[in-house]
Amino acid sequence: MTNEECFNAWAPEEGVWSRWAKPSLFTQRPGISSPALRSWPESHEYLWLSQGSRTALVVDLPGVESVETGMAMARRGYRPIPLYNTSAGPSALVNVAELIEALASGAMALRDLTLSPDAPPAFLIDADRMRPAVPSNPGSYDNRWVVFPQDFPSGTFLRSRGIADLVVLHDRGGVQEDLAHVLLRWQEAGIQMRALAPGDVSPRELTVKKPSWFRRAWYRAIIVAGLRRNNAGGFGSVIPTAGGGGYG
Amino acid sequence: MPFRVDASSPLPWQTVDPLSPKLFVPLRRRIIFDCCKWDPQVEDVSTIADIPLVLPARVWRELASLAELLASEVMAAETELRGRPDLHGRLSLPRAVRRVLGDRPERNTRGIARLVRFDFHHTTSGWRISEANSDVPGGLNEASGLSELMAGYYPGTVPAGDTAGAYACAMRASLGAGAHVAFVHATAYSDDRQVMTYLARRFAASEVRASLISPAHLRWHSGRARLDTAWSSETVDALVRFFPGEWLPNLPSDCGWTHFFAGGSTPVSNPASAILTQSKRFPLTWDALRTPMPTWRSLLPETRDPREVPWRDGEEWVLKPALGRVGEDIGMRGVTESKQWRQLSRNVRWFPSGWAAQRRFVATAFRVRGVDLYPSVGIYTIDGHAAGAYGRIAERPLIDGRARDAAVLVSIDDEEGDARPSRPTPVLAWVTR
Repeated sequence: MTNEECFNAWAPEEGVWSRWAKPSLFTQRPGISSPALRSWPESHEYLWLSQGSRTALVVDLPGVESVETGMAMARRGYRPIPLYNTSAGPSALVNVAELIEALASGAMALRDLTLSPDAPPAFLIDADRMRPAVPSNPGSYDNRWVVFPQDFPSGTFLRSRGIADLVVLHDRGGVQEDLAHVLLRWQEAGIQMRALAPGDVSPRELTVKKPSWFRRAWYRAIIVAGLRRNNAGGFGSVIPTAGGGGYG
Repeated sequence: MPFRVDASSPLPWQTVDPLSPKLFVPLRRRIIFDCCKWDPQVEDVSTIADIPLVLPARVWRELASLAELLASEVMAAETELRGRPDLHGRLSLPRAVRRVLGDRPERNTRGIARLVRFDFHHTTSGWRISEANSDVPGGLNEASGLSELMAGYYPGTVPAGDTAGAYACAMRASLGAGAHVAFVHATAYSDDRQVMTYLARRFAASEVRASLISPAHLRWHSGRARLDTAWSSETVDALVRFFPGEWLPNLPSDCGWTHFFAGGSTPVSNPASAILTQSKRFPLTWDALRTPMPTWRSLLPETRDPREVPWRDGEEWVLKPALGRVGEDIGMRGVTESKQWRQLSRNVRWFPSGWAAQRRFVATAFRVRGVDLYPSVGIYTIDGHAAGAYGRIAERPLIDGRARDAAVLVSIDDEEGDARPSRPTPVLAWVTR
């Protein structure tokens, strides 16, 4: 299965939500070897989600767990949409190698599922996107990333496809600030919000509060510049050399 | 797909039909995987236009010639400005940048394969440029990859050059086969990473090896750059910088960012002194330069310090941040949303020296599916030679982040007596180098 075939399995051309799928990790899987077969456990935590629901999901869970949850949702009729907007590299801070392999394995399983082109979306992101898996050593490859509202469909588009409510599945860290910027825009567009934390039996109502810099035209510039000021040419802070002053 | 030649049209574009969804959707996939286009969607908008800009060969030749004249003038101006620190204050450069540029200008870091993009717009008064991207011009994936793919659907056309291929050839010609080039960029930005990955692929095809690194992965010894990463400590033969010059001072001093400006013996494409002409306030220095700028003066609309012109009173002036990128924060009364216009106006009143006021031109549009579309054609030059084109199409007369990338094609059968050349000059020279 080639990288492109993997991407096509996750984001079929006829799918309503396929346009938003991020291709970057799919382009970086080395070689064209067949993905490893893996089992995708059914999670009973999500039995509250009824079949045929028009609730959208944002799966913000750590690493491979986000893919596994996406696959569980696919079996419940959801179209999982990978939004991992990062890249692989030597000595990378965020471990994406397992994620890349999980996506490839998931592609094989998705090919065997029949999902409606208009199936409700489950947007998949990695809760560890700003949490380095390895110590930030000088010379490491900084591949941390954040999400922006531009990475998702607008609230208007969601509503046009019959999506009126949304559940965020997050880890113990809660709803992260970059995602809060996205959720608040949707909330303002009239999308009802709920959240499911680890250990919750069913989702709770979620009211997103205004994050700092919300809706400033230069929010993107600020977040990038602020992070750059402290980081090695990307998001996050410059990894100082030993004994070096660095920034922050 | 058919295209029609209308010799009586006052517009420089040729009329073509957009690709049908049946053709466009698979093409979009090809762009993603063949051309490393990883950001094909921004919120609800596809960033790839389903229609190309098709230029008659004579128009392409005209634009290519103008771009080469502009490149010649801007390189001469940069050299002169490098030795005129008294003028740097007019450009609104960060203090740290002014300091390093003003310190021993004769130690300028050597340039190699100088890449510049000039953004042309067709107006009611003919061709004009809105700006030059002389520091870190982007759009290379789309300029080379998208145009190549799109040309296959429009018989009788060829891509308007191949900038990435010409760039690789220029590097190889200077450094030789087997050279090692480091691509310096913001590694965590997928937007930047995709350009570097695509270029690395194209350089490899020309037998030039690439390492993709952040500026913090470099160390300089006696002016020579080498990698300082967890995976390599090799020296490099040249650097391709895809990290804006004004951001370099944000890096720790250990990584020797000043060498991008001065004191580096490893050649850089582009040396950071390019920021001198990247500033939108560059025209404010012209009257003090010995370098004549006739082509720039004829093509760039009048540009002034905002304090000198009545920009508040009407729609005659466009406000631009001195170091703005991809159309960010450009203010056009009547086009910019009113809330944003108020914010920009306040900023210009408080910090006028950080802005330029440019006389507004009236761009001509073409109509597709009942919608007026405003195109721009960015012409790249490499070491002064036209190399390719980057098209963008907007639904309003402002090219910014909402504009879509468009292929730029050249029709090869539109001129009388034209013996159907396989590639219009000067593209031919660069494609076949």
